[in-house]
Amino acid sequence: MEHGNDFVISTQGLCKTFSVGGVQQHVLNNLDLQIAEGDFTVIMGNSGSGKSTLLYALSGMDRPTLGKIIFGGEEISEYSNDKLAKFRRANCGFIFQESFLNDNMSIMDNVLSAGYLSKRPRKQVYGDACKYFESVGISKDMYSKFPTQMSGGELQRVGLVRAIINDPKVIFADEPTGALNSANSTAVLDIMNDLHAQGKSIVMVTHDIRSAIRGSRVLYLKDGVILNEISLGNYDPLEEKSRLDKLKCFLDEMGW
Amino acid sequence: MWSIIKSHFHKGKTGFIITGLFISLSVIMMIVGLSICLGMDGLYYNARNLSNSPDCWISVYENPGEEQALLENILKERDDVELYDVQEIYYFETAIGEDDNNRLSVFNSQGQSLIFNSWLAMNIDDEDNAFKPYLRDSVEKEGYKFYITGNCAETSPISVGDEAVYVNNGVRYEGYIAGIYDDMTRIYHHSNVYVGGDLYQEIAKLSQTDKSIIEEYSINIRFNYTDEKANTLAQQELLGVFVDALNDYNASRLQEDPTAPIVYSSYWTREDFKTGTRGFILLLGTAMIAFAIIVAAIVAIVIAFLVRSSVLDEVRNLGVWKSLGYTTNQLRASYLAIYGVISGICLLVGVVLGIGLMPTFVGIVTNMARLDCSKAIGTNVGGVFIAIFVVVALVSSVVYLSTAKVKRITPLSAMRSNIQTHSFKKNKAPLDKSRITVNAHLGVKSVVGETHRSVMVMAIVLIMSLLCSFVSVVFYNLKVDQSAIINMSAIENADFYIGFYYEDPSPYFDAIHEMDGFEADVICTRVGISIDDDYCYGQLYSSFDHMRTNFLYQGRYPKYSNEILIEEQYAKSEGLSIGDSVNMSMEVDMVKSEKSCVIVGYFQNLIDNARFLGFVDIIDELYDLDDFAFYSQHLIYFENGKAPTIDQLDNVLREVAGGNVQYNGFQRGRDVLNSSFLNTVETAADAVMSVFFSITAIVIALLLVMLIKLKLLRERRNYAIYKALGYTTADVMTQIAVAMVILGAIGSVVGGIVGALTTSPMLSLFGSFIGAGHFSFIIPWGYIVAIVFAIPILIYAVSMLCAIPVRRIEPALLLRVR
Ligand SMILES: Nc1ncnc2c1ncn2[C@@H]1O[C@H](COP(=O)(O)OP(=O)(O)OP(=O)(O)O)[C@@H](O)[C@H]1O
Ligand SMILES: [Mg+2]
Repeated sequence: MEHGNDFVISTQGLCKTFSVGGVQQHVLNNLDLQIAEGDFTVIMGNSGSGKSTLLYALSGMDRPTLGKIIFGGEEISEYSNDKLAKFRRANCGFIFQESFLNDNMSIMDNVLSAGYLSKRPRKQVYGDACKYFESVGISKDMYSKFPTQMSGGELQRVGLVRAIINDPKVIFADEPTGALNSANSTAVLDIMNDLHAQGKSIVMVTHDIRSAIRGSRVLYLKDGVILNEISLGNYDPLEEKSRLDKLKCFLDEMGW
Repeated sequence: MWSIIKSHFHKGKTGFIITGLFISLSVIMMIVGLSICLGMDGLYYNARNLSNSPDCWISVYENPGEEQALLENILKERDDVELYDVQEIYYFETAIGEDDNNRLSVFNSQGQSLIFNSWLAMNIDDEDNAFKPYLRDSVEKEGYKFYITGNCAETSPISVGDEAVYVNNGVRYEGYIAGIYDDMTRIYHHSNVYVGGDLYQEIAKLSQTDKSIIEEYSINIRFNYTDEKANTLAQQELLGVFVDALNDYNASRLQEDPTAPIVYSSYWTREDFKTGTRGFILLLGTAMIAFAIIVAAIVAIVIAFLVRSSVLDEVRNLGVWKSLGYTTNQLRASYLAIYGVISGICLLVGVVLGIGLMPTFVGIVTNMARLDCSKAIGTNVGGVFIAIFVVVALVSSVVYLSTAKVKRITPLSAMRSNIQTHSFKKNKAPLDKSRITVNAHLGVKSVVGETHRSVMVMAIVLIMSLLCSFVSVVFYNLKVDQSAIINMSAIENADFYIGFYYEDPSPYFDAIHEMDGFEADVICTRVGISIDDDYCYGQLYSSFDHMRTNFLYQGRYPKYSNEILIEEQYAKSEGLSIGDSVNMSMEVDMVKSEKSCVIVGYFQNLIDNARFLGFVDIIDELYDLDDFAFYSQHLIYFENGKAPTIDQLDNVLREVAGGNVQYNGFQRGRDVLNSSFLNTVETAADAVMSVFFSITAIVIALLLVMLIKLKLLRERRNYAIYKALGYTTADVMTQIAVAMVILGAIGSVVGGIVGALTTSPMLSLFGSFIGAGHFSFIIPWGYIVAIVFAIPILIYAVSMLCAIPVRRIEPALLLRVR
């Protein structure tokens, strides 16, 4: 592997079991995985294969049933809920399929309510928020709008700003384009590629091949383990066609 | 429709419990309060029948046969008299300086005693007595039986079973207090004593030889009853006729024989019982009604909130129903149905409990009236219906008004699901302007973002802290610093009240004057004097310079013997005011003496014991009477902190007497106050304080439980997002608590201050009908500050407790929240 030892996240024997009505369902099954610093990792797999479950476990949103998760050198699988919460503040940014913004406050407040959790001066946080908003194409006059007054594409960009406001180690995205049309999807993915180009580590779950080719590495999840993976190298819009073919080929092999 | 009811039920469980509880509470209070207030006339009517009291009596002596016939002739002519009866009684007059020779004394087990100097004996075993009184608390023991009034038992250290002895010229008639008798016309006169038939016969025999035992006749009269007012007027009118007839009779007899003895009469009506009790009982009733209204207001606020938030939450479902063809009114009716059922059940519970608790409250009324009212006052059916009507009207109108938004929901609303009102509002309290911690700020945002909820919480906390501060002002003034209430009582708070049964008590007073720290000795006496021909009682003092009770609330103290203070309420009813001249007259030694006096100020009279205050020489002839000193008491003042104990003083006086001292009352001023009203008032203060404080705590706690449960349900998704972003459980709990504390703090500060400032004016408003319309209670700011701090602290603690379930809202929830 080209990235050698600087893994930002690694797991050992990760298991996640849900029991519903006494019936046990092993969603993650002894899963070992390393995610390298600076990679744009994409997780694919069938619906119900456990992609979201894996993502939530990696990001410290949920705890594994068994196994270790080492994130930035810390074994977060051991952490209490509160410690995890504090850990997430500094290290994780999230983008969800639905934007999951708080409808009761303006988009600026949505971003600041995450940003103010960091110890940086508030002026600086606000400045960053403005900067990021500008970079995703949201103008000043929209700052005081409420989420219910905005389109899905706009909301997803607000979600992105919220995810990066604290400059997290890793950005986690669960089907960020799932609810968007292709133009909006492209815009969001372009931003993610920009972030990646700036050196951010990203872990993204997606169903969509056009989204998946944006990543530098694609993992395929099946039966609770990483069945296989493919390295695509860093994204270059000019290589779109060849990346697409390569990925399609890989997915065919996986029986997708 | 069922789904609306179901979802509303699910989200509002705690709310329903509170609503239900308060409806029941309000109904109970309303029924009891209304039963008391509406039952007042009935109370007196029933109490009259139960105690078998006459409406009034007049008693005459000197020439019984003749006078009695005269008055009976008048009675026979009248068709408004239902029943009358002539009762033979004996009046005991104790001569001055006779030691223990002719006296009725009662001793209790603690060695305290009550001595009746002049008293009146009636025969309890007189089977012909048409107004044979109702007896209670009777006990059987060896010896002669004495029966006293409930008021005597309440206000003296004496109780049923205590030893009693009547001494006549060295012969002791030993016995005990065998019970309490109820008679509305005699209740306030301790000296009216019923005795057993055996003793009565002995007394009758003694009266043949002993001139100090005077045989009298009392004509007890009862009128046909239509209503209280007519009954009262009839009493007054008849007594007027009697007095005129007796005056004519005396005049004609004096014309025939200038040496003929004058016939005296004395009379009493149950009016005193009414004025003495009515105010306090009404106050209790109105306080209960006021409390019921406050609780009902809270019910209204809570229901309005629950219904409004349910309508907002159910926009989608309501839209679907509308698209299916349901009308606005049908949907509103579904809400009415929910609350109809709840209030119906709780109404029933309230009515049952209200009726069940009635005896407890009647017990309180009995204590206030000092007459057994247990059968005299009961649940008022009208009151029950009023309570039911109020609750039904309140609940249905509140539900109807708060479902107004249903009108604006269209089938389209179903598509757009959550139309939340704040979507179109400004972003209040933006975070970029924030200078406080982010948790506190998010708390503030939820305060300004949810106006309905905020207004409700603030209103309820305000009401409750207003009540608390009201109650604490009352408590402080009734219990801790009683000067304000004492000032209203028209009772002087001297160190000692003391008098002596000696023709010349001066050696005793000289000894007192020699005592260390002695400050002043003021003569004081209670007399009946006519003011402009209206006979009434007043209190006379030899000086107003040492007063520790500040009687005055307007004007100045009298400086000359022709100046008087007048009771405010009385002045109002007689159309008198400061600066007016009145004619004070009284018969002294059978001669009418008069003096024109000027009213120089007003005083208040919480317990109704005097209509005017003046100087002892207000009527010179009265002051010059030989036995004036005998009948008056002295107020003894010592310098601050130098007052001796009652035993020390007693010892000094014993030395002068060389043994037993014949006291004409020997009490600490404080004890006089205690027995006349402070004891009652203090117990009331304790009860009210603890009841109100716990009710406040319960109301606020329940409110928070309801609100926070609802909030956790509605904001689950947002809290999960917060958690995902890195907020800890403690952060979210703090946000919730901060929001509540802010509202609580505003409510309690406003409520506390307003309550403190309005207590006196409010009491004055209510007090004006018991003769004290000018309360100037001290505001205990320390208490108010404590309340203002305690309520938000309570709110903080309860909110944190209620917010603990935030722990279970974890970010992984977002996986499933759709
Ligand atoms: N809290 C839970 N309790 C019980 N079962 C769960 C829970 N969360 C997830 N599952 C189950 O675990 C499996 C994996 O779910 P997960 O959401 O990770 O799938 P996914 O790969 O993200 O699917 P999709 O592509 O549809 O989002 C599913 O079968 C789901 O039903
Ligand atoms: Mg998923």
